[in-house]
Amino acid sequence: MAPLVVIVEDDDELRELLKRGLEAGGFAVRPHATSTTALSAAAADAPDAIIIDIGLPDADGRDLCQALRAAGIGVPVIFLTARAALSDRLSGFHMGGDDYLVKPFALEELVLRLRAVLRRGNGHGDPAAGSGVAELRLDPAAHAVQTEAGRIDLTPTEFRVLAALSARPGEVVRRRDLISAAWPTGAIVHENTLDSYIARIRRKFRARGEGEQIATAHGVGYKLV
Amino acid sequence: MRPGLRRRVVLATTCAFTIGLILLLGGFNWFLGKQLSSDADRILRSRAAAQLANIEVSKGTVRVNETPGDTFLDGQAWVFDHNRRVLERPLSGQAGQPARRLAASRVPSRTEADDTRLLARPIRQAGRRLGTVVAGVSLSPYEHTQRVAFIASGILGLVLLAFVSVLSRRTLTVALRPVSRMTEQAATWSERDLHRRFAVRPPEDELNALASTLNGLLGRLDASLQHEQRFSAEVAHELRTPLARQRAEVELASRDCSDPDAGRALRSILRDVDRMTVMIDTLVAAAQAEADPGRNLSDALTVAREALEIVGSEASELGIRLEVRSPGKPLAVCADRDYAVQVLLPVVSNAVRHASGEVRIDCSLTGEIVRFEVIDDGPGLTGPEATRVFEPGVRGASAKGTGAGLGLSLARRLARSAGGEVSGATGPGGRFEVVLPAA
Repeated sequence: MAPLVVIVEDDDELRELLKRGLEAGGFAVRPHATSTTALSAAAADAPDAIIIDIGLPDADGRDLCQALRAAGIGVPVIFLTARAALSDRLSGFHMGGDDYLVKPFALEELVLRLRAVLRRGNGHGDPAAGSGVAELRLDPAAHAVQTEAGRIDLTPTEFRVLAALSARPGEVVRRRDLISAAWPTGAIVHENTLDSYIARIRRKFRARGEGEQIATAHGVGYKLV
Repeated sequence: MRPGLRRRVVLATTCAFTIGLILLLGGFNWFLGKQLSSDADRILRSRAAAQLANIEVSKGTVRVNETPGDTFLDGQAWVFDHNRRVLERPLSGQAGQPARRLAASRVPSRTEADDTRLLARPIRQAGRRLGTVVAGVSLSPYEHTQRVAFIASGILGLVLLAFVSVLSRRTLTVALRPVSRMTEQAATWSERDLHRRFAVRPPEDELNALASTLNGLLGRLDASLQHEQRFSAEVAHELRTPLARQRAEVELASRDCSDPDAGRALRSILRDVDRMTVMIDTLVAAAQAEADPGRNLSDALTVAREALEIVGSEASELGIRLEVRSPGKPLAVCADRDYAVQVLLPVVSNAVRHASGEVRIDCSLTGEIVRFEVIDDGPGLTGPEATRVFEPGVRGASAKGTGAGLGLSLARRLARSAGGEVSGATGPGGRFEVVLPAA
């Protein structure tokens, strides 16, 4: 059976062209135009790989990737972007991307890279499964999180910190990794800045009546419990 | 700090002080001389008056009353009668002859001889001159005092001069310390550190005003650079999605295309898309480079090969042979690999478009620079073109196909950002030289 690839690209023509190109390359393709539709259909789609345009109209493609990871979707992600700067590329990898292609690219190259990431498999696994951690549903478009008690609105940075934690539930995420996931590359982030963001997220959870969600691993990082 | 400024100010201060000191000490010595001279005169006058008081005139003759032990009168006083015979003379004194001459003359009544100042006073009775009293005072103590004062003031002046010169040097060094600090600070900044600012601390003085002005200037430069970077990034961003669309479209179309002419046309469009992509990358790299050119190392041969690889498909389409020559040992270039490729690429791409059959890159190391000579067998540059092709929007007369004439100017800008240069030599044959600092 042909591997299923989900494409999240807002440009209609390009999305259509990608679909044609990938189908010609032997993939089954499910295209989406927004992060919202992609996220809601992701579980049902059960794709083998996802191609995400970073510049989506309703959310940053990197946040969508984090939300997918938090939703337990660990398949390889290739980012497409119109931004070629090294800092953009790095942040793509920090946000759980497996590869990165700068527009314009050769369709042939995209197909080759897709095959490569599929062959390599991925280290993300199925994070939520079996970890015993309460599932959080992240909404990258609104920078919000859906818990059993209700919806919690977060700032983009809080969202990214939480998304980075929920992409690896039950695992200690190192401070450095959290900072590179939540702040732009090169940003000067002081030691206690991350702590104060964590404190704010905890406060927001408590305000909703949720229990302690984030545990501190002193000197190392934080983990979602 | 400019060493000349402090020396000049110290010199000017010392000169002004020297002139003032000379005038002051000169005035002091002149005044002292005057004062001593008038002191001598006063003693002379009182001595003459005392001698006159000691003279008795009776029946037209002059007699000197002896006052035993009167050293004051015995000091320096002569009494002559009207025949200029000496009635009284000092116990010791050399000025006997001048005193006699002074007694004989009517005017002047005052003279100086042998370090002695003499004053004559006539002895009169009922309008008749009966004789002359001549008093004298030795000037040598006064002259000695004046000499000592002169030497002492000279020494004092020299000491003061040395003191002032050292002090002004010190003061100036302290006063100019903020300037040297600013200079040192600015020297450690690279030309891209436009976000750095000079520290402005109280008090509000001229140097702080200068620092504030320079900070303002840096701020404006920084803002305009950031604006340019943002602009380039936005332009690139806006162009990339349509280019991606175009590329995908053409790629898919050329797969299904069986007509050779249409296939050629499609491949040519693909090449143009790739060329535009290179241009966008270079443009963005140039804008970024001004902020951070990167200082990693790369290998010259790898850079040259990568540049040739990018133009490879176009070259084979045009039937151009590509070649790299290097001295066989690794040549490290002080620039990121991507960056160095971006510098070289427009030059190589330009050579491919102008060559008739061959493009060659010769890599070599000369002193502290790595040289990439890009040589093609095309018509080459004419004299005026050799400088003009580096101006934005200028294309050579033999340019084929499309092109905005931006590549070479961008290549030069990139090279300069990394401390290198791109230059062109006149034909026959295209000869361009890309120079980058060696590691």
